[in-house]
Amino acid sequence: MELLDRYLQAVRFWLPKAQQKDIIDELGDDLRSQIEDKESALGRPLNEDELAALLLQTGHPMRVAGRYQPQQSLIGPVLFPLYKFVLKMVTVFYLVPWILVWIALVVFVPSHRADNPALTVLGGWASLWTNAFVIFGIITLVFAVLEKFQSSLKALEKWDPRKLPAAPKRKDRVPRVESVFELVFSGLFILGWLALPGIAREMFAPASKILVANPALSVYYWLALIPACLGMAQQFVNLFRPQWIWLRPPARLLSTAITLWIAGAMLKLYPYCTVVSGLPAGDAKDAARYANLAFAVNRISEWSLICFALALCIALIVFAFQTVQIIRKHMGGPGDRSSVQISQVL
Amino acid sequence: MKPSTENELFENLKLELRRGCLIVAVLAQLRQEHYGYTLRKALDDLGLAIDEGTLYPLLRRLESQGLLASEWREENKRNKRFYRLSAEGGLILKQLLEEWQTINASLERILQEA
Repeated sequence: MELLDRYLQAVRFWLPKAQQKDIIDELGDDLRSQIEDKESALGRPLNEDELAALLLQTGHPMRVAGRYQPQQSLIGPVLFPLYKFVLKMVTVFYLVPWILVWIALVVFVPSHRADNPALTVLGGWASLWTNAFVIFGIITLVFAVLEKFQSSLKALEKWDPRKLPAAPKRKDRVPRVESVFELVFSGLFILGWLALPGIAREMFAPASKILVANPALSVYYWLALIPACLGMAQQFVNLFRPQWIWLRPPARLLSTAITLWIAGAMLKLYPYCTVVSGLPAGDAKDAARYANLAFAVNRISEWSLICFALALCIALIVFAFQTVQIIRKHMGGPGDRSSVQISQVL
Repeated sequence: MKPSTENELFENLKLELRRGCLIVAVLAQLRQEHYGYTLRKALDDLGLAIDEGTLYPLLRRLESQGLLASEWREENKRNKRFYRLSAEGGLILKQLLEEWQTINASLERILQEA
C-alpha cells in the first residue's frame, strides 16, 4: 500500500489545507475499497503494476485535486474578449509603430546608423521588450482586478440597447459616388503636382537665390505620378465595374508600395538642398546663417519624409491585410470576420 | 472533420449532456443513504458509470449547496462518509425531475417531427 500512500500524499499537496484530511480520507477509502474488490475477484493481493494501473486510471494527483477546487480564472470569459482587444490595440498602436520607426531610422537615416552601433540597436530592442512586458503586465493586472469586481460593474448591468453602435453595412460593391469623389480628388492632386514647380518658384523666389534643391530629386518628381495614375485607373474601373470590389485593396497596396519606395529613395538623397555656390561674398555671419537655414530645411524635410514613410507603412499593412482577406475569401477560406474587425479598428 | 477532432467533439458534447443528468441521478440515488464507493457501484450497476474524480467533488458541491447531508461513521473497521438527500435536496430533486420530464417530452416531440 506504499504506492497508494504516496499517491494520496501527492493529491493532498494540491488540496486546500482546510479540506485536505476530509478529502484524502474519503478518496483513500474509495481507492482501498476498489483494491479490496479487485483482490477478492483475483483471490490474491494486487501486485505493484496492477496497483499502479489503478492509480493511473484514477488520474494525475494534480488533476484529481484540481477537481475539488472551484473553477478559477484570472480573466473570465466575459472580460476576455475586451482584454484581447486592448492587447491588440497596444500591439497595433505601440509595438508596430515602434518597430516601424526603428526600421525607418536604421534603413533610411544614415546618420542614425552611424551614431548607433549594433549594441545600441540591441539596447533599443531590449527597451521595447521591457516596455511591452510592463504594459502587457499592467493591462493583465487591471483586467484581473476588473474580473474580481466584475459582478459589481454597473456598465454590464445598466445598459441601453439603443446606444449600441450601428452594425456596419457589408459592401458588395464600390459606391459610384466614392469612385467619382476619388477620381476628382486624384485629378486635382495630379494637376496640383504638375503645377507645383511653378508655384514653388513663385513662393520661394527669394529663397531660391540662397538654397538650391538636390538635382537628383527631380527624377522622383515624375515617378510620384505613377501611384496617383494607378489609383485613378482603379477608380475609373470601379466607376464602371462597381461590383469588382476586390480590385481596390491590391491597387491601393501597389500604389502605396510604390510611394513608400519613392519616399525611401528620396530619404537617401540627404541633403535635399544646399546653399547656392557663388553667392556674393558676404561676411562670415551671413554664411553661417545660410548654412543653418539649409540644415533646418533639410532636417524638417527629412523628418517629414520619415513621418510620411511611417504612415505609408501602416497603410501598407492595412492594405496587405485587406488584400490577403480578399484572396482568402475568393479561395473560399475563412477570415472574413477578422477583415471586418481590423477595418473597424484601423 | 478529422476523426480525432470528431471524437473529441463528441466526448465534449457527451460530457456536457451528462453533467446535468449526473446531478439528478446522484440526488435520486441518495434518497437512500450511501457512502461514496457504494453510491458509485449502485450507479454503475444501473448503467451510469461515474469516476471518483467526478463523483466526490460533485458530492461536496451538492452538500455545500445544502442539497445533501453527510456524516462520518465507522463501517467494516474503516471510517466512511455517508451521504443522504436533505429536505431541501428532496424539493429540488422533485423540481428537477419535473423539468427533466418536460425537456424529455419536448425532445421526443422534436425527434418525432424530424
